[in-house]
Amino acid sequence: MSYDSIRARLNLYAVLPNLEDVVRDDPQMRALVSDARITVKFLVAGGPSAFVRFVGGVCTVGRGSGPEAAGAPAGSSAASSADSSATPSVVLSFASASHLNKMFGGTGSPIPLWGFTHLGFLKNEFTELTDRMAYYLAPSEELLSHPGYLAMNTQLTLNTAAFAVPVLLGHDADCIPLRHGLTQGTIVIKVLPDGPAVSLVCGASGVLPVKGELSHPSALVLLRDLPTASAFLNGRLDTFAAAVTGEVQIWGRIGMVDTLALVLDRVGKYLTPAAEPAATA
Amino acid sequence: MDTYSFAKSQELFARATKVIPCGIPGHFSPAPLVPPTAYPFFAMSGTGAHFTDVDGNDFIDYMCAYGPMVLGYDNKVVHDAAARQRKLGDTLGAPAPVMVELAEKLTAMIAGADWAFFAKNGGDQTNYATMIARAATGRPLIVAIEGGYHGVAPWMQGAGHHGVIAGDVAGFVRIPWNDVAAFVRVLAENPGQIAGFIATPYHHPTFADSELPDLGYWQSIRELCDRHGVVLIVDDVRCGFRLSLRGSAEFFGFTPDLACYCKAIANGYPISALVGIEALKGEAAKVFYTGSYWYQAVPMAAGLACLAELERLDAPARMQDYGRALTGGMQRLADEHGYELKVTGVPSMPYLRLTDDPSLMLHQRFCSECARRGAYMTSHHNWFMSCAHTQDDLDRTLAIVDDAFAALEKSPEGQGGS
Repeated sequence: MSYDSIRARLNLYAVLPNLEDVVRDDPQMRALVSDARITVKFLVAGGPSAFVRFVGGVCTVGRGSGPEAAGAPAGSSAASSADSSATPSVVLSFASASHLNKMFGGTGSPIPLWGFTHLGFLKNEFTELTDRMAYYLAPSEELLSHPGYLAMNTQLTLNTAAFAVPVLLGHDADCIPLRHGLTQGTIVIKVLPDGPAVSLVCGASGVLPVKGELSHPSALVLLRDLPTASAFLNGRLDTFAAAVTGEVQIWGRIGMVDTLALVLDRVGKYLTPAAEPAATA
Repeated sequence: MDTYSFAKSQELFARATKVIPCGIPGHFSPAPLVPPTAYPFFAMSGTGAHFTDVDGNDFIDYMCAYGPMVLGYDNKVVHDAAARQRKLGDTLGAPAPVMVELAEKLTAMIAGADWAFFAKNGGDQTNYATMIARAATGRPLIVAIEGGYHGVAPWMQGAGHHGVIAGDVAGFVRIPWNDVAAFVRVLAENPGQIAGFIATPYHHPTFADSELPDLGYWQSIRELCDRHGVVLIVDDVRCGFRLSLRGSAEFFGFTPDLACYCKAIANGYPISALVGIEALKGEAAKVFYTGSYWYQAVPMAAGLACLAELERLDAPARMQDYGRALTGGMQRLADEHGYELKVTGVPSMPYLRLTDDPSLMLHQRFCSECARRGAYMTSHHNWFMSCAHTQDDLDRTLAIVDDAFAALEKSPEGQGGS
């Protein structure tokens, strides 16, 4: 699969689900969409699709064209939580994966296919919301010095990393051979003392990322605190050294964590600002 | 029982991380030790079956430097032989006579070995063996076992690992251990393409129980290799001379075409050997393969002395006996404390696992409690017995194990702590 196709899937399936957290945990954003009742659908021609649904002040992101479409794929954060009530929709169409990636990079615009009566929501509330998510995902030293920003950036980066895993295992040529190392049990990655946390449920059919901490993990990755987690997730920590000093504690089935680390190391190939398609296609 | 602390190890590790990637890279990295803070990172000295860390803590060593220590640290017989050769010369302008003597010794000892070739590490030899197999057959593919460890060259690490590209592993087909039918399938699917079959004498992966060969497994593999003209390579780097002084293949009742040795040859002096059958000597000669220090005479002299000592002591039987006493005693103690301790592999290289917790966190805590009390044993790699382990070591170890199990009972939910 091409670099752009994988990147588009990561944007839709790993980055976009962070809107759920932004709406839930940022009071200003929650207020912004509290009255919204709409589904925004992302369709890439010949490629992936996803939806973002707003109902009752709650944002739900999932794979496919929406909860009314039966059989949302495993891995969708909406698969288990969305009800079947239909909402008015606006559909954003992208001519290609590259087109979608440009929009996520802030340099392209989608083509609204239908739902023109809701363009106001798209241009205003939705744009403000996605800008806010982008803000949380683009840290600087100065921003990370604010505890609130640090917490949000860490949570969203952790989500992105976890939700990137099934995409990369499914499509990245370097990661596909690693599937056999993630076939049984749950890996929990948790920031001590109280989170955030993500869980990766590994089974024969693939890896299902879940926000939060599931019980009875097969392997645990415990990050000492938010600054440690932030440094870990943003590539500013010597992870081997941190594993020895106790900043990062690893327990349980270490082989699974080793394999997971190999997959996570590839996320930056697609999602860092410096990622260059030509270099990796 | 008092427990150790490791302030100097941790201080030195902090210095190491500034100037060495990973602090301590490779198989000595503390990262897989769980929790690392319960283990020493740096050793200062060693005698017999013990080593002392930089904090002055004494350990009964069940990792034996991951295999090379087979007679005990600071072994006088081996050191004296090495010292005599050092006086004559080590890395010289030509190989020393001791190289021939060591080759003669190994070919006399190891069943089916007609020649020997020396290098430094086990991975040098497993790689050389695959090159010889390809040269001898003119075929591209090597069959190996899923999870089998043969060193750190790109083809040995597998696809998806850092620094490994698809082309590095394209010439290898991995099949499950103990699966003769899988080998038959691979042979059928790749007619005239399989150059070699490489595996360890029994399956001893990290993070998983060891598996002995099923009855008739090796004989079936041997027969298939003969029928299809495939070179049979045994990686005896880890097991070599801990099962049989005539080679682990002899222990399991078959004869390979090539066999790789390393760890137990010279009790810590750096040397590895590939031995092979007469029919492959010419092809081995044609494959150009060498290294700056592969002709060092001191390790060869140490190897001669070490092998003689292993024979004198009937080393495999001695290590098997100690391993049986150790693991049997540990299982009895585990049972008394209400745990189930599973032992796999062979007694001289046992792999242990508490089965009560499938996540292995309980087992990790158990091993760490033993390490804190002076029995150095890691949780996810097979252990190694040596000829230097004594009855006193055994008694002391079992006392430590008893206390470690008691410590688990005092804090049953201790996972995540250090």
